[in-house]
Amino acid sequence: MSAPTSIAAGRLKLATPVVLASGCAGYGDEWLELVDLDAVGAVVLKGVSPEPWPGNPPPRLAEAPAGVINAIGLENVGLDVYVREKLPALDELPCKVVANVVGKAAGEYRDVCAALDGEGRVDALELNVSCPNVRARGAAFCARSKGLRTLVEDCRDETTKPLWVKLAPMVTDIIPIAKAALDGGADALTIANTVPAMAVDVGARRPVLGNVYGGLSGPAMRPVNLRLVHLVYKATGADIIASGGVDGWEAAAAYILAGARAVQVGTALFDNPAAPAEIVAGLDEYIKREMFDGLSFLVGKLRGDKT
Amino acid sequence: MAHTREIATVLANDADGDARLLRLGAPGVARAARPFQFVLVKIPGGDFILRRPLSVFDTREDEIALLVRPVGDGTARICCLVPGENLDLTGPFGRGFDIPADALFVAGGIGVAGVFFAVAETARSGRKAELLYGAKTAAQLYARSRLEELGVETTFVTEDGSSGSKGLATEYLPGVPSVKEKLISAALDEKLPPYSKTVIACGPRQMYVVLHKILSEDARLHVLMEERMACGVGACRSCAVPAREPKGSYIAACEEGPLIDAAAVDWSRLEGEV
Repeated sequence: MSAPTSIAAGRLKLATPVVLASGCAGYGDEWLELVDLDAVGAVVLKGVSPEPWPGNPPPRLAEAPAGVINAIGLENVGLDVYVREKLPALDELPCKVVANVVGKAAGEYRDVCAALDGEGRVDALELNVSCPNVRARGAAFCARSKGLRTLVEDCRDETTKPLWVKLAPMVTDIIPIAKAALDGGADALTIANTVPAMAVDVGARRPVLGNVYGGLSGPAMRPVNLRLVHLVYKATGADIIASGGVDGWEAAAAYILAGARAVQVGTALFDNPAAPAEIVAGLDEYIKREMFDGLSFLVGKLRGDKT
Repeated sequence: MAHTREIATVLANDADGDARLLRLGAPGVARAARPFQFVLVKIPGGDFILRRPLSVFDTREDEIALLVRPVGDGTARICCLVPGENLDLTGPFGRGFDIPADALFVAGGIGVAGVFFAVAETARSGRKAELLYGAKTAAQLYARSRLEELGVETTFVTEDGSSGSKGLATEYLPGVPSVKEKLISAALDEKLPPYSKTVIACGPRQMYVVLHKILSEDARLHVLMEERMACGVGACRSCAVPAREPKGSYIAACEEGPLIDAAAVDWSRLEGEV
Protein backbone atom coordinates (compact mmCIF):
# COMPACT_ATOMS: atom_id res chain seq x y z
CA MET A 1 0.00 0.00 0.00
CA SER A 2 1.26 3.42 -0.89
CA ALA A 3 1.85 6.15 1.67
CA PRO A 4 -1.35 7.98 2.65
CA THR A 5 -0.09 11.26 1.25
CA SER A 6 0.83 9.86 -2.18
CA ILE A 7 -1.48 10.87 -4.98
CA ALA A 8 -1.66 11.04 -8.77
CA ALA A 9 -2.18 14.22 -10.74
CA GLY A 10 -3.09 13.29 -14.26
CA ARG A 11 -0.78 10.43 -15.21
CA LEU A 12 1.94 11.60 -12.85
CA LYS A 13 2.22 9.69 -9.57
CA LEU A 14 3.47 11.89 -6.76
CA ALA A 15 4.99 10.58 -3.53
CA THR A 16 3.53 13.62 -1.79
CA PRO A 17 1.07 16.30 -2.97
CA VAL A 18 3.67 19.05 -2.51
CA VAL A 19 5.02 20.40 -5.77
CA LEU A 20 7.61 23.17 -5.84
CA ALA A 21 6.34 25.98 -8.06
CA SER A 22 8.09 27.15 -11.19
CA GLY A 23 10.23 30.24 -10.75
CA CYS A 24 10.73 29.86 -7.00
CA ALA A 25 12.30 26.43 -7.36
CA GLY A 26 15.06 27.44 -9.79
CA TYR A 27 16.54 24.59 -11.78
CA GLY A 28 15.78 22.05 -9.10
CA ASP A 29 19.04 21.80 -7.19
CA GLU A 30 19.58 25.28 -5.70
CA TRP A 31 17.50 24.54 -2.60
CA LEU A 32 19.01 21.12 -1.87
CA GLU A 33 20.62 22.18 1.40
CA LEU A 34 17.59 24.04 2.78
CA VAL A 35 14.51 22.21 1.48
CA ASP A 36 13.86 18.54 2.25
CA LEU A 37 13.14 17.19 -1.22
CA ASP A 38 12.06 13.84 0.23
CA ALA A 39 8.90 15.69 1.25
CA VAL A 40 8.36 16.93 -2.30
CA GLY A 41 6.34 15.06 -4.94
CA ALA A 42 7.68 17.05 -7.87
CA VAL A 43 9.69 20.13 -8.63
CA VAL A 44 8.62 22.38 -11.49
CA LEU A 45 11.72 23.93 -12.99
CA LYS A 46 12.07 27.52 -14.16
CA GLY A 47 10.31 28.19 -17.43
CA VAL A 48 12.42 27.37 -20.46
CA SER A 49 12.21 29.00 -23.89
CA PRO A 50 14.02 28.00 -27.11
CA GLU A 51 16.55 30.86 -26.73
CA PRO A 52 17.88 32.35 -23.47
CA TRP A 53 15.81 35.22 -22.06
CA PRO A 54 17.58 37.92 -19.99
CA GLY A 55 14.56 38.79 -17.85
CA ASN A 56 13.35 42.20 -16.71
CA PRO A 57 15.37 45.17 -15.42
CA PRO A 58 15.64 45.35 -11.63
CA PRO A 59 14.20 45.90 -9.11
CA ARG A 60 12.35 42.66 -9.69
CA LEU A 61 10.77 42.25 -6.29
CA ALA A 62 8.36 44.19 -4.08
CA GLU A 63 6.76 43.25 -0.79
CA ALA A 64 2.98 43.46 -0.57
CA PRO A 65 0.48 42.89 2.25
CA ALA A 66 0.40 39.10 2.62
CA GLY A 67 2.32 38.63 -0.57
CA VAL A 68 5.20 39.36 -2.88
CA ILE A 69 5.12 41.02 -6.29
CA ASN A 70 7.72 39.77 -8.71
CA ALA A 71 8.72 40.84 -12.18
CA ILE A 72 11.52 38.44 -12.99
CA GLY A 73 10.45 38.21 -16.61
CA LEU A 74 11.14 34.50 -17.09
CA GLU A 75 14.92 34.91 -17.14
CA ASN A 76 16.18 31.56 -18.34
CA VAL A 77 19.22 29.88 -19.84
CA GLY A 78 17.47 28.69 -23.00
CA LEU A 79 16.81 25.17 -24.21
CA ASP A 80 20.40 24.21 -25.13
CA VAL A 81 21.98 24.92 -21.74
CA TYR A 82 18.87 23.58 -20.02
CA VAL A 83 19.24 20.20 -21.69
CA ARG A 84 23.04 20.12 -21.60
CA GLU A 85 23.70 21.40 -18.06
CA LYS A 86 20.57 21.78 -15.94
CA LEU A 87 18.73 18.48 -16.51
CA PRO A 88 21.80 16.21 -16.04
CA ALA A 89 22.38 17.82 -12.61
CA LEU A 90 19.05 16.40 -11.43
CA ASP A 91 19.85 12.69 -11.67
CA GLU A 92 19.99 12.27 -7.90
CA LEU A 93 16.86 14.28 -7.13
CA PRO A 94 14.46 12.11 -5.09
CA CYS A 95 11.31 13.60 -6.66
CA LYS A 96 9.64 13.93 -10.05
CA VAL A 97 10.78 16.71 -12.36
CA VAL A 98 8.36 18.88 -14.34
CA ALA A 99 9.62 21.19 -17.07
CA ASN A 100 7.81 24.51 -17.36
CA VAL A 101 7.55 25.65 -20.97
CA VAL A 102 7.38 29.26 -22.14
CA GLY A 103 7.51 30.91 -25.54
CA LYS A 104 6.73 34.03 -27.50
CA ALA A 105 4.60 32.17 -30.03
CA ALA A 106 2.89 28.81 -30.40
CA GLY A 107 5.79 27.45 -32.44
CA GLU A 108 8.20 28.09 -29.59
CA TYR A 109 6.07 26.15 -27.10
CA ARG A 110 5.86 23.33 -29.61
CA ASP A 111 9.61 23.30 -30.20
CA VAL A 112 10.41 23.12 -26.49
CA CYS A 113 7.88 20.32 -25.95
CA ALA A 114 9.34 18.37 -28.87
CA ALA A 115 12.89 18.83 -27.61
CA LEU A 116 12.02 17.72 -24.07
CA ASP A 117 9.95 14.71 -25.11
CA GLY A 118 13.05 12.56 -25.29
CA GLU A 119 14.58 13.80 -22.03
CA GLY A 120 14.38 10.98 -19.52
CA ARG A 121 14.71 13.22 -16.47
CA VAL A 122 11.61 15.21 -17.42
CA ASP A 123 8.56 13.43 -16.01
CA ALA A 124 5.96 15.95 -17.18
CA LEU A 125 5.59 19.31 -18.92
CA GLU A 126 3.77 22.38 -17.63
CA LEU A 127 2.76 24.95 -20.25
CA ASN A 128 3.03 28.44 -18.83
CA VAL A 129 0.42 30.38 -20.75
CA SER A 130 -0.17 32.92 -18.01
CA CYS A 131 2.96 34.78 -16.91
CA PRO A 132 2.06 38.43 -16.32
CA ASN A 133 5.67 39.54 -16.69
CA VAL A 134 6.47 39.11 -20.33
CA ARG A 135 5.31 41.49 -23.00
CA ALA A 136 3.08 39.04 -24.81
CA ARG A 137 2.21 37.60 -21.35
CA GLY A 138 0.76 34.52 -23.00
CA ALA A 139 -2.33 36.70 -23.27
CA ALA A 140 -3.21 35.33 -26.65
CA PHE A 141 -3.42 31.90 -25.04
CA CYS A 142 -4.54 32.24 -21.47
CA ALA A 143 -7.52 34.49 -22.03
CA ARG A 144 -8.94 33.00 -25.23
CA SER A 145 -10.13 29.46 -25.19
CA LYS A 146 -9.83 28.83 -28.93
CA GLY A 147 -6.17 29.84 -29.14
CA LEU A 148 -5.39 27.89 -26.00
CA ARG A 149 -7.00 24.72 -27.30
CA THR A 150 -4.96 24.91 -30.50
CA LEU A 151 -1.76 25.55 -28.55
CA VAL A 152 -2.33 22.61 -26.22
CA GLU A 153 -3.22 20.36 -29.16
CA ASP A 154 -0.03 21.39 -30.94
CA CYS A 155 2.06 20.63 -27.87
CA ARG A 156 0.18 17.41 -27.24
CA ASP A 157 1.21 16.29 -30.72
CA GLU A 158 4.87 16.77 -29.82
CA THR A 159 5.04 14.81 -26.59
CA THR A 160 3.73 11.71 -24.93
CA LYS A 161 4.65 13.02 -21.48
CA PRO A 162 1.96 14.19 -19.07
CA LEU A 163 0.99 17.76 -19.94
CA TRP A 164 -0.11 20.34 -17.37
CA VAL A 165 -1.42 23.76 -18.34
CA LYS A 166 -0.89 26.64 -15.90
CA LEU A 167 -3.80 29.07 -16.13
CA ALA A 168 -4.13 32.75 -15.27
CA PRO A 169 -6.34 33.80 -12.35
CA MET A 170 -7.55 37.09 -13.85
CA VAL A 171 -9.85 36.11 -16.70
CA THR A 172 -13.53 36.82 -17.32
CA ASP A 173 -14.52 33.19 -16.91
CA ILE A 174 -11.99 30.47 -16.18
CA ILE A 175 -14.28 27.54 -16.98
CA PRO A 176 -14.26 27.73 -20.81
CA ILE A 177 -10.50 28.30 -20.66
CA ALA A 178 -10.00 25.26 -18.45
CA LYS A 179 -12.21 23.20 -20.77
CA ALA A 180 -10.22 24.36 -23.79
CA ALA A 181 -6.99 23.20 -22.18
CA LEU A 182 -8.56 19.83 -21.34
CA ASP A 183 -10.06 19.44 -24.82
CA GLY A 184 -6.64 20.19 -26.26
CA GLY A 185 -5.23 17.24 -24.37
CA ALA A 186 -4.03 18.56 -21.00
CA ASP A 187 -3.64 15.86 -18.34
CA ALA A 188 -3.99 18.33 -15.49
CA LEU A 189 -4.39 22.05 -14.82
CA THR A 190 -2.29 24.25 -12.58
CA ILE A 191 -4.56 26.88 -11.02
CA ALA A 192 -3.30 29.52 -10.95
CA ASN A 193 -0.41 31.78 -11.85
CA THR A 194 0.18 35.18 -10.18
CA VAL A 195 -2.24 38.06 -10.64
CA PRO A 196 -0.98 41.29 -12.31
CA ALA A 197 -0.05 43.84 -9.66
CA MET A 198 1.95 47.00 -8.96
CA ALA A 199 3.74 48.78 -6.12
CA VAL A 200 4.66 52.45 -5.79
CA ASP A 201 7.54 53.96 -3.83
CA VAL A 202 5.87 57.17 -2.64
CA GLY A 203 9.13 58.63 -1.31
CA ALA A 204 10.84 58.32 -4.68
CA ARG A 205 7.54 58.87 -6.57
CA ARG A 206 8.31 55.97 -8.85
CA PRO A 207 7.14 52.39 -9.45
CA VAL A 208 9.01 49.93 -7.23
CA LEU A 209 9.50 47.42 -10.02
CA GLY A 210 11.78 48.06 -12.99
CA ASN A 211 9.07 46.48 -15.14
CA VAL A 212 6.40 48.68 -13.42
CA TYR A 213 3.98 45.73 -13.27
CA GLY A 214 4.57 42.34 -11.73
CA GLY A 215 2.70 39.31 -10.48
CA LEU A 216 1.30 38.98 -6.97
CA SER A 217 1.87 35.69 -5.15
CA GLY A 218 1.62 34.50 -1.58
CA PRO A 219 -1.21 34.19 0.97
CA ALA A 220 -3.07 37.16 -0.58
CA MET A 221 -3.83 34.90 -3.56
CA ARG A 222 -5.13 31.93 -1.59
CA PRO A 223 -8.85 32.84 -1.27
CA VAL A 224 -8.95 33.93 -4.91
CA ASN A 225 -7.37 30.78 -6.30
CA LEU A 226 -9.31 28.55 -3.90
CA ARG A 227 -12.49 29.72 -5.62
CA LEU A 228 -10.98 29.15 -9.07
CA VAL A 229 -9.93 25.61 -8.16
CA HIS A 230 -13.40 24.92 -6.84
CA LEU A 231 -15.13 26.37 -9.93
CA VAL A 232 -13.02 24.34 -12.34
CA TYR A 233 -13.25 21.15 -10.32
CA LYS A 234 -17.05 21.36 -10.15
CA ALA A 235 -17.40 22.22 -13.83
CA THR A 236 -14.90 19.75 -15.27
CA GLY A 237 -13.76 17.26 -12.65
CA ALA A 238 -10.25 17.87 -13.95
CA ASP A 239 -7.11 16.91 -12.09
CA ILE A 240 -5.94 20.18 -10.59
CA ILE A 241 -2.65 21.26 -9.07
CA ALA A 242 -3.48 24.29 -6.93
CA SER A 243 -1.12 27.20 -6.55
CA GLY A 244 -1.33 30.42 -4.58
CA GLY A 245 -0.36 31.07 -0.97
CA VAL A 246 0.21 27.48 0.13
CA ASP A 247 2.33 28.03 3.24
CA GLY A 248 1.10 25.28 5.56
CA TRP A 249 -0.89 22.06 5.70
CA GLU A 250 -4.21 23.83 6.29
CA ALA A 251 -3.85 25.83 3.09
CA ALA A 252 -2.99 22.61 1.27
CA ALA A 253 -5.94 20.78 2.82
CA ALA A 254 -8.30 23.62 1.86
CA TYR A 255 -7.23 23.39 -1.77
CA ILE A 256 -7.58 19.60 -1.77
CA LEU A 257 -11.05 19.79 -0.25
CA ALA A 258 -11.95 22.35 -2.93
CA GLY A 259 -10.90 19.88 -5.62
CA ALA A 260 -7.13 19.95 -6.07
CA ARG A 261 -5.03 16.76 -6.12
CA ALA A 262 -1.74 18.49 -5.38
CA VAL A 263 -0.51 21.91 -4.33
CA GLN A 264 2.37 24.05 -5.49
CA VAL A 265 4.57 25.78 -2.95
CA GLY A 266 6.49 28.79 -4.17
CA THR A 267 6.63 32.07 -2.28
CA ALA A 268 6.44 30.23 1.07
CA LEU A 269 9.91 28.78 0.44
CA PHE A 270 11.43 32.23 0.89
CA ASP A 271 9.86 32.62 4.31
CA ASN A 272 10.12 29.04 5.46
CA PRO A 273 12.21 26.49 3.54
CA ALA A 274 10.82 23.79 5.85
CA ALA A 275 7.28 24.43 4.53
CA PRO A 276 7.16 21.34 2.23
CA ALA A 277 8.12 18.95 5.04
CA GLU A 278 5.74 20.66 7.48
CA ILE A 279 2.86 20.47 4.98
CA VAL A 280 3.35 16.74 4.39
CA ALA A 281 3.60 16.02 8.12
CA GLY A 282 0.48 18.12 8.80
CA LEU A 283 -1.53 16.45 6.04
CA ASP A 284 -0.47 13.03 7.24
CA GLU A 285 -1.71 13.81 10.72
CA TYR A 286 -4.93 15.31 9.34
CA ILE A 287 -5.71 12.18 7.30
CA LYS A 288 -5.15 9.99 10.34
CA ARG A 289 -7.22 12.22 12.59
CA GLU A 290 -10.12 12.31 10.09
CA MET A 291 -9.65 8.57 9.46
CA PHE A 292 -9.32 8.75 5.69
CA ASP A 293 -7.43 5.97 3.90
CA GLY A 294 -5.45 8.47 1.85
CA LEU A 295 -5.32 11.94 0.48
CA SER A 296 -7.20 11.04 -2.72
CA PHE A 297 -10.32 10.39 -0.65
CA LEU A 298 -10.35 14.04 0.40
CA VAL A 299 -10.29 15.57 -3.08
CA GLY A 300 -13.38 17.76 -3.54
CA LYS A 301 -14.99 16.40 -0.38
CA LEU A 302 -16.50 19.63 0.91
CA ARG A 303 -19.53 19.25 3.13
CA GLY A 304 -22.56 21.45 2.55
CA ASP A 305 -21.34 22.55 -0.85
CA LYS A 306 -24.50 23.84 -2.55
CA THR A 307 -22.88 25.19 -5.71
CA MET B 1 28.61 26.10 -0.03
CA ALA B 2 26.90 25.11 3.12
CA HIS B 3 23.55 26.76 3.57
CA THR B 4 21.84 26.16 6.87
CA ARG B 5 18.79 27.39 8.66
CA GLU B 6 19.42 28.26 12.23
CA ILE B 7 17.40 29.69 15.07
CA ALA B 8 19.90 32.12 16.55
CA THR B 9 19.76 33.49 20.06
CA VAL B 10 20.26 37.19 20.65
CA LEU B 11 23.18 37.62 23.04
CA ALA B 12 23.46 41.40 22.94
CA ASN B 13 21.91 44.38 21.20
CA ASP B 14 23.94 47.56 21.57
CA ALA B 15 23.50 51.04 20.14
CA ASP B 16 26.07 52.18 17.62
CA GLY B 17 25.18 55.68 16.42
CA ASP B 18 21.68 55.42 14.95
CA ALA B 19 22.13 51.68 14.27
CA ARG B 20 22.25 48.54 16.44
CA LEU B 21 24.96 45.95 16.68
CA LEU B 22 23.42 42.55 17.39
CA ARG B 23 25.49 39.66 18.67
CA LEU B 24 23.87 36.30 17.98
CA GLY B 25 24.61 32.76 19.05
CA ALA B 26 24.51 30.93 15.70
CA PRO B 27 27.23 28.25 15.58
CA GLY B 28 26.33 26.85 12.16
CA VAL B 29 26.39 30.18 10.36
CA ALA B 30 29.28 31.54 12.44
CA ARG B 31 31.60 28.68 11.60
CA ALA B 32 30.74 28.69 7.89
CA ALA B 33 30.65 32.43 7.17
CA ARG B 34 33.39 34.18 5.25
CA PRO B 35 33.89 37.90 4.59
CA PHE B 36 31.35 39.43 2.16
CA GLN B 37 28.77 36.72 2.76
CA PHE B 38 25.30 37.49 4.08
CA VAL B 39 22.40 35.91 5.90
CA LEU B 40 18.66 36.15 5.25
CA VAL B 41 16.87 37.15 8.43
CA LYS B 42 13.22 36.40 9.07
CA ILE B 43 11.49 39.48 10.44
CA PRO B 44 10.13 38.73 13.93
CA GLY B 45 6.35 38.94 14.24
CA GLY B 46 5.40 36.83 11.25
CA ASP B 47 3.76 39.29 8.87
CA PHE B 48 6.61 39.72 6.42
CA ILE B 49 7.20 37.02 3.82
CA LEU B 50 10.55 38.18 2.51
CA ARG B 51 13.58 37.72 4.71
CA ARG B 52 16.02 40.63 4.84
CA PRO B 53 19.54 40.20 3.50
CA LEU B 54 22.10 41.40 6.06
CA SER B 55 25.87 41.24 5.73
CA VAL B 56 27.72 39.13 8.24
CA PHE B 57 29.39 41.99 10.13
CA ASP B 58 31.83 39.74 11.95
CA THR B 59 32.12 36.31 13.53
CA ARG B 60 33.78 34.96 16.63
CA GLU B 61 33.68 31.24 17.35
CA ASP B 62 29.94 30.41 17.66
CA GLU B 63 28.75 33.99 17.37
CA ILE B 64 27.94 36.28 14.50
CA ALA B 65 27.38 40.02 14.63
CA LEU B 66 24.96 42.00 12.46
CA LEU B 67 25.00 45.78 12.14
CA VAL B 68 21.45 46.93 11.42
CA ARG B 69 20.07 50.39 10.78
CA PRO B 70 16.30 50.72 11.20
CA VAL B 71 15.31 51.99 7.76
CA GLY B 72 11.92 50.29 7.45
CA ASP B 73 9.40 48.28 9.48
CA GLY B 74 11.33 45.05 9.02
CA THR B 75 14.76 46.29 10.08
CA ALA B 76 13.12 48.26 12.92
CA ARG B 77 11.78 45.02 14.35
CA ILE B 78 15.17 43.37 14.15
CA CYS B 79 16.65 46.36 15.98
CA CYS B 80 14.12 45.91 18.82
CA LEU B 81 15.20 42.36 19.71
CA VAL B 82 16.41 41.88 23.28
CA PRO B 83 18.92 39.33 24.59
CA GLY B 84 17.36 35.89 24.94
CA GLU B 85 15.01 36.32 21.97
CA ASN B 86 15.40 34.24 18.82
CA LEU B 87 16.08 35.17 15.25
CA ASP B 88 15.49 32.78 12.34
CA LEU B 89 18.45 32.87 9.92
CA THR B 90 19.33 31.15 6.69
CA GLY B 91 22.76 31.32 5.16
CA PRO B 92 25.54 32.10 4.85
CA PHE B 93 24.91 33.00 1.21
CA GLY B 94 27.08 34.40 -1.54
CA ARG B 95 30.63 33.84 -2.51
CA GLY B 96 33.49 34.72 -0.29
CA PHE B 97 36.39 36.58 -1.81
CA ASP B 98 40.11 36.27 -1.12
CA ILE B 99 41.23 39.62 0.21
CA PRO B 100 44.09 40.94 -1.93
CA ALA B 101 47.23 42.31 -0.28
CA ASP B 102 46.76 45.74 -1.88
CA ALA B 103 43.12 46.15 -0.83
CA LEU B 104 41.71 49.58 -0.11
CA PHE B 105 38.30 49.27 1.51
CA VAL B 106 35.78 52.03 0.88
CA ALA B 107 32.57 52.21 2.90
CA GLY B 108 29.59 54.56 2.84
CA GLY B 109 27.47 54.81 6.01
CA ILE B 110 25.84 51.50 6.96
CA GLY B 111 27.78 49.96 4.06
CA VAL B 112 30.58 49.40 6.55
CA ALA B 113 28.59 46.31 7.57
CA GLY B 114 29.49 44.74 4.22
CA VAL B 115 33.25 45.21 4.48
CA PHE B 116 33.95 45.19 8.23
CA PHE B 117 34.48 41.41 8.39
CA ALA B 118 37.08 41.61 5.61
CA VAL B 119 38.75 44.66 7.15
CA ALA B 120 38.90 42.93 10.54
CA GLU B 121 40.25 39.68 9.06
CA THR B 122 42.96 41.66 7.28
CA ALA B 123 43.95 43.41 10.49
CA ARG B 124 43.75 40.23 12.59
CA SER B 125 46.07 38.45 10.18
CA GLY B 126 48.69 41.13 10.91
CA ARG B 127 48.39 42.85 7.56
CA LYS B 128 47.85 46.54 6.99
CA ALA B 129 44.13 47.31 6.75
CA GLU B 130 43.15 50.53 5.05
CA LEU B 131 39.60 51.92 5.11
CA LEU B 132 38.18 55.07 3.58
CA TYR B 133 34.91 55.62 5.37
CA GLY B 134 32.35 58.28 4.54
CA ALA B 135 28.91 59.07 5.91
CA LYS B 136 26.36 61.87 5.98
CA THR B 137 27.11 62.73 9.59
CA ALA B 138 29.13 61.51 12.59
CA ALA B 139 26.22 59.43 13.98
CA GLN B 140 26.36 57.32 10.82
CA LEU B 141 30.02 56.42 11.14
CA TYR B 142 29.65 53.05 12.82
CA ALA B 143 32.05 50.65 14.53
CA ARG B 144 34.58 53.39 15.22
CA SER B 145 35.95 51.93 18.44
CA ARG B 146 36.28 48.48 16.88
CA LEU B 147 38.17 49.88 13.91
CA GLU B 148 40.47 51.67 16.34
CA GLU B 149 41.04 48.55 18.49
CA LEU B 150 41.94 46.57 15.38
CA GLY B 151 44.44 49.21 14.31
CA VAL B 152 42.70 49.82 10.99
CA GLU B 153 44.08 52.88 9.17
CA THR B 154 40.76 54.66 8.73
CA THR B 155 40.12 57.96 6.96
CA PHE B 156 36.79 59.34 8.14
CA VAL B 157 34.82 61.69 5.94
CA THR B 158 31.41 63.27 6.63
CA GLU B 159 29.23 65.31 4.32
CA ASP B 160 28.47 67.84 7.08
CA GLY B 161 32.01 67.87 8.45
CA SER B 162 30.84 66.72 11.90
CA SER B 163 33.68 64.18 11.99
CA GLY B 164 36.85 63.71 9.98
CA SER B 165 37.27 65.50 6.67
CA LYS B 166 34.33 67.25 5.07
CA GLY B 167 32.85 66.01 1.79
CA LEU B 168 32.36 62.64 0.13
CA ALA B 169 34.61 59.62 0.66
CA THR B 170 35.20 59.43 -3.07
CA GLU B 171 36.95 62.83 -2.91
CA TYR B 172 39.61 61.38 -0.62
CA LEU B 173 40.83 58.34 -2.54
CA PRO B 174 44.58 58.25 -1.98
CA GLY B 175 46.81 58.38 -5.04
CA VAL B 176 44.17 59.33 -7.58
CA PRO B 177 45.55 61.64 -10.27
CA SER B 178 44.28 65.22 -10.00
CA VAL B 179 42.18 66.82 -12.72
CA LYS B 180 45.29 68.75 -13.79
CA GLU B 181 47.34 65.55 -14.12
CA LYS B 182 44.52 63.96 -16.12
CA LEU B 183 44.31 66.96 -18.47
CA ILE B 184 48.06 66.98 -19.02
CA SER B 185 48.19 63.28 -19.78
CA ALA B 186 45.21 63.64 -22.11
CA ALA B 187 46.92 66.56 -23.90
CA LEU B 188 50.08 64.49 -24.29
CA ASP B 189 48.01 61.53 -25.42
CA GLU B 190 49.50 59.49 -22.59
CA LYS B 191 47.64 56.81 -20.71
CA LEU B 192 47.74 57.13 -16.93
CA PRO B 193 48.72 53.93 -15.16
CA PRO B 194 45.78 52.03 -13.63
CA TYR B 195 44.97 52.75 -10.01
CA SER B 196 47.53 50.94 -7.87
CA LYS B 197 45.16 49.42 -5.30
CA THR B 198 42.29 46.94 -5.42
CA VAL B 199 39.28 48.93 -4.27
CA ILE B 200 36.59 46.97 -2.42
CA ALA B 201 33.52 49.09 -1.79
CA CYS B 202 30.22 48.83 0.04
CA GLY B 203 27.83 51.76 0.15
CA PRO B 204 25.16 53.57 -1.82
CA ARG B 205 24.82 52.89 -5.54
CA GLN B 206 25.81 56.48 -6.36
CA MET B 207 29.14 55.91 -4.60
CA TYR B 208 29.88 52.95 -6.90
CA VAL B 209 29.08 55.00 -9.99
CA VAL B 210 31.45 57.77 -8.86
CA LEU B 211 34.19 55.28 -7.93
CA HIS B 212 33.88 53.64 -11.30
CA LYS B 213 34.17 57.05 -13.01
CA ILE B 214 37.16 58.23 -10.95
CA LEU B 215 39.24 55.08 -11.22
CA SER B 216 40.51 54.27 -14.67
CA GLU B 217 38.60 51.66 -16.64
CA ASP B 218 41.21 48.96 -16.01
CA ALA B 219 41.44 49.60 -12.25
CA ARG B 220 40.59 46.73 -9.97
CA LEU B 221 37.25 47.65 -8.38
CA HIS B 222 34.84 45.32 -6.60
CA VAL B 223 31.44 46.49 -5.40
CA LEU B 224 29.09 44.81 -2.96
CA MET B 225 25.65 44.73 -4.60
CA GLU B 226 22.85 44.87 -2.06
CA GLU B 227 19.76 43.93 -4.02
CA ARG B 228 16.23 42.98 -3.11
CA MET B 229 16.46 39.22 -2.58
CA ALA B 230 14.10 36.37 -1.88
CA CYS B 231 15.87 33.01 -1.91
CA GLY B 232 19.61 33.60 -1.44
CA VAL B 233 20.45 30.44 -3.40
CA GLY B 234 20.24 31.65 -7.01
CA ALA B 235 16.85 30.07 -7.67
CA CYS B 236 14.47 33.02 -7.98
CA ARG B 237 16.67 35.47 -9.95
CA SER B 238 15.29 38.49 -8.07
CA CYS B 239 18.64 40.08 -7.28
CA ALA B 240 19.58 40.95 -10.84
CA VAL B 241 22.61 43.15 -11.54
CA PRO B 242 23.11 44.27 -15.17
CA ALA B 243 25.99 42.25 -16.64
CA ARG B 244 28.40 43.35 -19.36
CA GLU B 245 28.47 39.91 -21.04
CA PRO B 246 26.38 38.56 -22.62
CA LYS B 247 24.85 41.90 -23.58
CA GLY B 248 21.57 42.58 -21.81
CA SER B 249 22.00 39.74 -19.32
CA TYR B 250 22.05 39.84 -15.53
CA ILE B 251 24.22 38.56 -12.68
CA ALA B 252 22.44 37.05 -9.66
CA ALA B 253 23.99 38.97 -6.77
CA CYS B 254 23.12 36.31 -4.19
CA GLU B 255 24.98 33.56 -5.99
CA GLU B 256 27.72 35.23 -8.04
CA GLY B 257 28.17 38.10 -5.55
CA PRO B 258 27.34 39.95 -3.50
CA LEU B 259 30.87 41.27 -4.10
CA ILE B 260 31.06 41.71 -7.85
CA ASP B 261 33.97 42.69 -10.08
CA ALA B 262 33.17 46.07 -11.62
CA ALA B 263 34.50 44.77 -14.92
CA ALA B 264 31.59 42.32 -15.06
CA VAL B 265 28.96 45.03 -14.57
CA ASP B 266 27.17 46.92 -17.34
CA TRP B 267 27.62 50.41 -15.87
CA SER B 268 25.47 52.19 -18.43
CA ARG B 269 22.44 50.19 -17.32
CA LEU B 270 23.38 50.41 -13.65
CA GLU B 271 23.63 54.20 -13.83
CA GLY B 272 20.17 54.24 -15.33
CA GLU B 273 18.89 52.81 -12.05
CA VAL B 274 20.46 55.53 -9.87
